[in-house]
Amino acid sequence: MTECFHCGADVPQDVLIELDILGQARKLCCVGCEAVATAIVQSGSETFYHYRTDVNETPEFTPASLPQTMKMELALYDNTDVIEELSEASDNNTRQINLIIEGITCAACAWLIEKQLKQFSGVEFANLNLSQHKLQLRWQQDLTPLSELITRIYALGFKAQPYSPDQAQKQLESEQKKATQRLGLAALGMMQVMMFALPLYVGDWAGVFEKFETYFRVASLIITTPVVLYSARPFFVAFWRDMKSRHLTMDVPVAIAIGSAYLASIYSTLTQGEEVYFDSVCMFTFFLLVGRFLESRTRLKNCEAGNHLANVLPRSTLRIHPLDKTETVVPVSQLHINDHIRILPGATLVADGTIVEGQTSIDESIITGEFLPIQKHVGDNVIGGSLNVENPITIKISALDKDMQISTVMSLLDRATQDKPKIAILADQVAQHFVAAVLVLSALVFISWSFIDSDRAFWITLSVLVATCPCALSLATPTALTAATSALKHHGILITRGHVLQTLTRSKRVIFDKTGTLTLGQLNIEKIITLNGTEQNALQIAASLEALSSHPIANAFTFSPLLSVNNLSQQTGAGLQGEINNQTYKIGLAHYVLKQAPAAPDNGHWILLANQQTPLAWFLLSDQLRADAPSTVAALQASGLTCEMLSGDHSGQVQLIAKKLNLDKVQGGVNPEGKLNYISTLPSGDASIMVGDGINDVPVLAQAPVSIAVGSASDLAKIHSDVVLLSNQLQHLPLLIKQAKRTSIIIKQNLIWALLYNISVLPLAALGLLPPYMAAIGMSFSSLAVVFNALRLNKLRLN
Amino acid sequence: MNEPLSFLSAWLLGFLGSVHCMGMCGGIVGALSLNTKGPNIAIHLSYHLGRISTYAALGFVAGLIGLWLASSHAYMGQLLRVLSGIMLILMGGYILGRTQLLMWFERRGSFVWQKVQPLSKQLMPVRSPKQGLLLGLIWGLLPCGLIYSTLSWSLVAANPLHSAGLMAMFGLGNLPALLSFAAFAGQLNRFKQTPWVRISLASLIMAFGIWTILAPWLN
Repeated sequence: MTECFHCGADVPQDVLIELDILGQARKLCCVGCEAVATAIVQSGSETFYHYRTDVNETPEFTPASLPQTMKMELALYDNTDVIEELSEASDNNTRQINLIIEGITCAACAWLIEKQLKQFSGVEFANLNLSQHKLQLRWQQDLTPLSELITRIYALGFKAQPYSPDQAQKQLESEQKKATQRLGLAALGMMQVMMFALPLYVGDWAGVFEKFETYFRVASLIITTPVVLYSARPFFVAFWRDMKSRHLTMDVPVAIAIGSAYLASIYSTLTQGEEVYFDSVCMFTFFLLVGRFLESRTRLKNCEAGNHLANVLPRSTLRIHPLDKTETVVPVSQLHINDHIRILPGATLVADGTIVEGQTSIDESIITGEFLPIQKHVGDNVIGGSLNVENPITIKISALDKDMQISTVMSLLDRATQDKPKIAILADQVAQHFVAAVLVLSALVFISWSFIDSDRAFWITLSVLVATCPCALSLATPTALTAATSALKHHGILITRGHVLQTLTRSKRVIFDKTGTLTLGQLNIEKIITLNGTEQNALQIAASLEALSSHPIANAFTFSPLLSVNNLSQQTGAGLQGEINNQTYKIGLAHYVLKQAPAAPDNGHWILLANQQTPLAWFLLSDQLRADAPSTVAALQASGLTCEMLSGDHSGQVQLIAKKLNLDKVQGGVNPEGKLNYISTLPSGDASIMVGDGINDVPVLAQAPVSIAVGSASDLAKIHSDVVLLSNQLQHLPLLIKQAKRTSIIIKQNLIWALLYNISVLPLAALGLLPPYMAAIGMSFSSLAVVFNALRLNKLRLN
Repeated sequence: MNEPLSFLSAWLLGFLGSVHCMGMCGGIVGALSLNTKGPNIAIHLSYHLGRISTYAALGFVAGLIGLWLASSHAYMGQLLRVLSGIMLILMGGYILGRTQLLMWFERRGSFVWQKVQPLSKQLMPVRSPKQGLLLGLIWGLLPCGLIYSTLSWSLVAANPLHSAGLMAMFGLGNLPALLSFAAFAGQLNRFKQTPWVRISLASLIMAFGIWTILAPWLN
């Protein structure tokens, strides 16, 4: 008999239930076990089955061979200054830090990280927040250094970096906490007061409970008081603010209704009067707070998403002592002008400077958008932020921090952020008129009823105020936006600014960057022309030579099996030379490969392979289009958007891609400033969408009415975008637009429903047919209708 | 003890039936919680509190249905009693691994589970008693033959509050086995696999079933 994989019981013979767990079909004994196991697998906690026998047993992890530059950075985490800057002291010896963990896909990852960290001595607390990817860590630096902990996280296959929330988020967090408390208090108060109120309303019991009425009223008063003073406080604060600024908002009638109903009820309780409204007060407060709560939660989530991307990793570099030439690892903040620093291949330059030793090629795409590295020799100027590709170099620093050339991009950015068109808050303007009307109307109702039946004038006016409360109206937009945003997030589309979904519906134009956005930003062999021998043979020789090079071109060549190469030598910026089977081959630029090189087939990016006598083959290299680019552009055009391309690239590739994708308009060779200028000439009514990835796109992303960064984009680009396509798939763009349109429809439906409701109950309330508690219940139902309608946005499917 | 539908018998049913669910639900909370420094009692208890609350809620609904059926049709009360007795006998057979009829019910019930199960995704791994409680509330709806037969049995009481109480007692009956499972997993697993343990537990449950059917005539 087999044992149930989940519970260990025998599997009865006539039962066949199988489930794929840990990559194998496992037999299970019953539907219950199947259900539990499915839940575990789907929640990503599959590893549970690995460890369940002994929870403390952990697999062996060998620290992955971290790149040299990463090791240097990690060493910095033990620098006292750095630690003090990044973490806070919590106790003596104990410090606390927040780390953002990248690469978490499931609960099991979180589980693994926490368990692994807790095994170190000195780690007192490790808690990973799954939705925020934020690890809270409390540890003792003298027992286990931070660098060791972070190394372990890297070894597990995740990335960790320090995180510090900005001021705005801290404020939002505390707001959210208060909102939760207010809501909770109002909910409790409402339930209690309703319990006291119901027996008095319900016909049959009314007689029985009459003698308790005074007691019930006093109890309700005691419970309602904190609800009014604490939960409803924001309404009174806003009322006072509005009075001072003479600006009507929804808070004015709300504060009047709550305040007057509360005071009237106290008076009524003390004088044994006819009616008390404690239940209506609590209910009203509660339902209004639900709306506030949802809204503040959305804002917090958006803010978190933005903060997520902020990179506060301390950067380090190797400083070379001018006399004894010794190298020390120092934080970038401790560098000075004229210092000599060593930049290893694969590292980013931390400062502007001049090369004093070595020659290399440098990828300056961060500034220029051009994807091919540029040749640099001793004496040449290099730009901070660019990437050293081939050889180690030593540079003498000429500019640091704010003086670096890349900072000009940043200052463009500041300008762009200020120029961002403001989205008029339409709802606020509508509400102001609406509120004024409600106030006038209530006054009229009160005056009229004072003449007709002065005893009923007060509660009828109260009913009017409650019934016309634009509660559903104020929920209409935030609930729809929350639902739509969270559905998009599940598809890997992160909305970081609130206005996006509304603005997208007005958009008429999409502008794409080329490199890294429409293309993958990697070189590929597009075409091979053989001059001598077979294509296979040429490719094999070329790939064997390139296999040993770190130049980005090398990645384009793949072949298996490779041949063994002897005496490989590299001439920076020109090509490679090596011996295969005692025959010398060269690959690279035509004039380097052969003295009398044949002319290239056209002006594309061709490189030549030759032996010592004859040319063998031409390879045409180009940046490859994303697979989903054509379908995305087609889908966007079908939905009525104009698709354009704006690229910093000068080459002929720009036109080529434009033709392939059938774009409506194309501009090549545009620098960041030019892009910015172009965007500002576009009519603001078009609500143009800019899609980009590089640092050179950052200013234009910041200024565009809607900016979208693809997942592979630089962090800076992500920070300044309204939307990040985390899944790195262009085909999510049409989905985003579709969701924006659906959201706009739902918001309109909600607004219409809310207005219709308010207008239709108004006569009932004004005629005195609706007691205040019924008005409050009606209001909550109309709000619920709005919420449920908004929840329909949660369902979202590709195509 | 003339009436089989007492809280004590509900507790016993849960206790006897727990051989079945020990492996299925018991260790899960402990294993899925992230605490490496020993089991967290608060999380365990909150999970079970959630689970039992769901049972009680189901019992309440069953009681309502029972009340409606019993008051609208004269012989329905008797019929239900017989049916629920049969369900208990099936439950005994199920624990013995002899009959798979209950599995048919489990399959029917799993559509509810498929609806609620995705909700539990965000709760794993369990970190706090609050999450434990929520997980318990959801996992109380597991498609489980044991729960279904007990539920049909509690339906006979034809009183929402009484049925809810019966189901809650049933849940409490599971508790000793489920809680101890985390601690003595190994020994218990061997113990419950022993044939005579299973046979005696199963026959006790079947006896309950027969008693439920016969009770009106025994008085």
